[in-house]
Amino acid sequence: MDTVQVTEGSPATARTRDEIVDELAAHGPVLLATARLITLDLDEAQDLVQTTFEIAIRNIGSLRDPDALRAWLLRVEVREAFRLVRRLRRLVSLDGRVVELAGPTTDLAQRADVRAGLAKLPPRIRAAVALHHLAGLSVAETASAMGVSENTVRSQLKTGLARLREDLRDG
Amino acid sequence: MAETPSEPTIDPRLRDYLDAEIRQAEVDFAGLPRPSGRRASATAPLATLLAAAVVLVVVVVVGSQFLGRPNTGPAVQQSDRASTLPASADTSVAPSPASSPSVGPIAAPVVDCGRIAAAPCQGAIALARVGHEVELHNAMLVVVDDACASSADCLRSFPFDSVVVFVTAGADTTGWYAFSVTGPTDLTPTKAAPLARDIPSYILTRLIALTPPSPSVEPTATPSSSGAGGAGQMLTCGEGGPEFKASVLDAPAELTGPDPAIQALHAHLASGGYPGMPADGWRTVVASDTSVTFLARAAATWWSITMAPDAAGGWQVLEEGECRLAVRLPQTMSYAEWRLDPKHPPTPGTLSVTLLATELACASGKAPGSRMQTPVVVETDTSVTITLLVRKQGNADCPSNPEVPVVAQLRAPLGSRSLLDGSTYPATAVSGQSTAEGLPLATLAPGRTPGDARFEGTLGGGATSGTACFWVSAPGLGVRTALVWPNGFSAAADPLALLGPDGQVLAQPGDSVVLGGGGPPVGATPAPAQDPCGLGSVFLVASVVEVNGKAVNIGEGSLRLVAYAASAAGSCPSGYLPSLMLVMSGGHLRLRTTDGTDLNATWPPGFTARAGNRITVVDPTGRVVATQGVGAGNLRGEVGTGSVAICGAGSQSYP
Repeated sequence: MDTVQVTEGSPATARTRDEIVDELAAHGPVLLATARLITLDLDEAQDLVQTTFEIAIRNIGSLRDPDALRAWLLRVEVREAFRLVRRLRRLVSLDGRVVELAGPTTDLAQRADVRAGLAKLPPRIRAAVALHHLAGLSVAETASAMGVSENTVRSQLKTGLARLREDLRDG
Repeated sequence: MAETPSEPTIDPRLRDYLDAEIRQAEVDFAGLPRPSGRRASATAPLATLLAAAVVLVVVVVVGSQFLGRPNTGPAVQQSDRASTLPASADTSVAPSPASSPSVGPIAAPVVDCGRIAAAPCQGAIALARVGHEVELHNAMLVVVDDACASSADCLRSFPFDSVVVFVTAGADTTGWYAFSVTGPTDLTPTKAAPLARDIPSYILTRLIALTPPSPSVEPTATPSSSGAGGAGQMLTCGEGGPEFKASVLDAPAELTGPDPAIQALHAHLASGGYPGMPADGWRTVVASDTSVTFLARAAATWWSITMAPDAAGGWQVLEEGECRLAVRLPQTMSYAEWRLDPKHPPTPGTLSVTLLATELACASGKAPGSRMQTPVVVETDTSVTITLLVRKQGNADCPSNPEVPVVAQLRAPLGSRSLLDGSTYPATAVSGQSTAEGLPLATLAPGRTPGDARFEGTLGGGATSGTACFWVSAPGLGVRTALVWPNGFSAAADPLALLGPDGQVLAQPGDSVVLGGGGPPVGATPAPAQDPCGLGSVFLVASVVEVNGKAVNIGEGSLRLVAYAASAAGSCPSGYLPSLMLVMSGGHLRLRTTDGTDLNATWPPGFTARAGNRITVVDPTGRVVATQGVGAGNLRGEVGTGSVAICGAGSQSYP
């Protein structure tokens, strides 16, 4: 069984492990929502979050800045998502299951339009939108998470929002 | 939210959507199993946390993504059970058998080491057992293999990198435990951990083939469709559709779920529903606040209706149509349906069955190649069920897929056992095979439609002087009536089979058939060409209505489409026609409106119809534009009186 490698004296060990667990769980909803937006699949998203937690727990020692836990987790998640893409090309499957979640205050038809528009976006542009506009990462953090330049992220966000706006106008 | 000077303003509808997603995720995440160090001992909380998280991953993967659900309770029970596993210690050294806790003698399971040598295989199994002795005590099967499907396509993390799967219960995956076992040399396993990803498909297929049905599952009347369990299996009506236990099909029809949904169902059925749907016998198979799916059976066909809330607060039909029942697969896998290769017909001594397989999922019209898995073959004394699984092609569009040859190996000669295709639930009997050399057959002149009388019984057949003859023995009468078939039908020899106008096997002697047609004029004596076996009476067949209870409705020209001349084509309307369903009506393929009117359809040049489990209409590029029994809402064209001229599907216009 793999053991958890926590470097002595690293910032991560300055907190109790229970605190780390609590912190991980606190970011669960954002991780789940982001995963859903990237994968467009409930089961896949839950798997992705669990995988992210597993990787995070195993590698928590490599986190130098405890305040950057959220961005670090999202980076792990998005990297893992696209690693899965490379392996199975699941995220770009046109026949993957997409499950509509009813929002308590949002019109269903409008939600369906937005979701359909998001689903048409290329996965990496959708991931950029998810990280920046849903998870709240800065452009720099989004770029770091995705392993691309900030200009690339800005371009992806601009393209993504423009396409969505056009799609919603047509719809 | 983060802002940058250069970023454009976000659309308020997107903002609302994302906010709602976050709120929904907060609710959903609270209900999910998640890491919790509270249960861990004070000495190793993180190790326990890791184990819990990894086990949870395995539970999600094994319990939710594979073929079945636990037979004894909902999935959450399995999560609870698995999450209470004791934390595994770091096993940097292979344990001795004596190090295992005392849980009684370990039963000797069947072990399949795949490509792993015997000694490291046993070492890997021993390592994986550590910490899980109680759960794995009764393992009946252990499958081990390399973590890579092939060395050419592998991101290997360790020289020894394997997957070990223990099967402690039936094939519904309730008791499947998967581990990753790694080591510093290719013969030295030293570490084991629960597998944190899907079980690779090449191992999954071996597990399915080798795993006996769950002992807790009542045997079904028909052999299990994939050899993977029984009433506890999770079924679907097709990829992406709702999932439900097979046992609901045998349960009394009962409507449960939100009352408004049930009322909407009744109202929909009272208004006629979709043509062909049964009016009663509906049962709820899946119900939630956001959708309810009902199922009912009419003859051999299941139908489904899914209701969902509409914007006005009521419920409306989200989806309806025929339901092709199949055992749910992992999301990365799909079925391929198959037929026997007419050039290699099996004989009683056959040990290798040659199949012609067609992948069911979208694959951009590409042959599956290495995505096709080793056939899953389940043999019993009376049947051989062959299930073909294909790893899905990503980023695929949906022209029809090519037929490719696949060879399935049997453990014993085929003998008189029936062959079943496991891509449906229950498995579908495969009707014989054709041969390259056909037999002459008594057929009608082109365009002859001898009536619409119904004639049913058991098909018999024989050959005399190089000519095939078929007859029907009516139940209880003991009289054989020779059959004269529609123009375009033919016969195959060795074994004898009736071939439809598309050259595929339609029926074989012994099949129960329902025929439409009529008799010759009163007093007429059949000519020898009509009655080669000299039975004395004939029935002129206009169409084969059913074979073994399955509606086929194949007659002369059944698979021919009426095409309009290319010169007649004008601009194609951009709007979609109301939903139309491809049906066999009056011996021809027609398009049925939702009010039950059958329209004669004309199609663009180059369109063809193909037989199969369902008839499909495909465009010149092979893209399926209409499927028998499925409503299509993306057809475009001009509607005339009793007819419709199709000129487009989706965004594509023809010619």
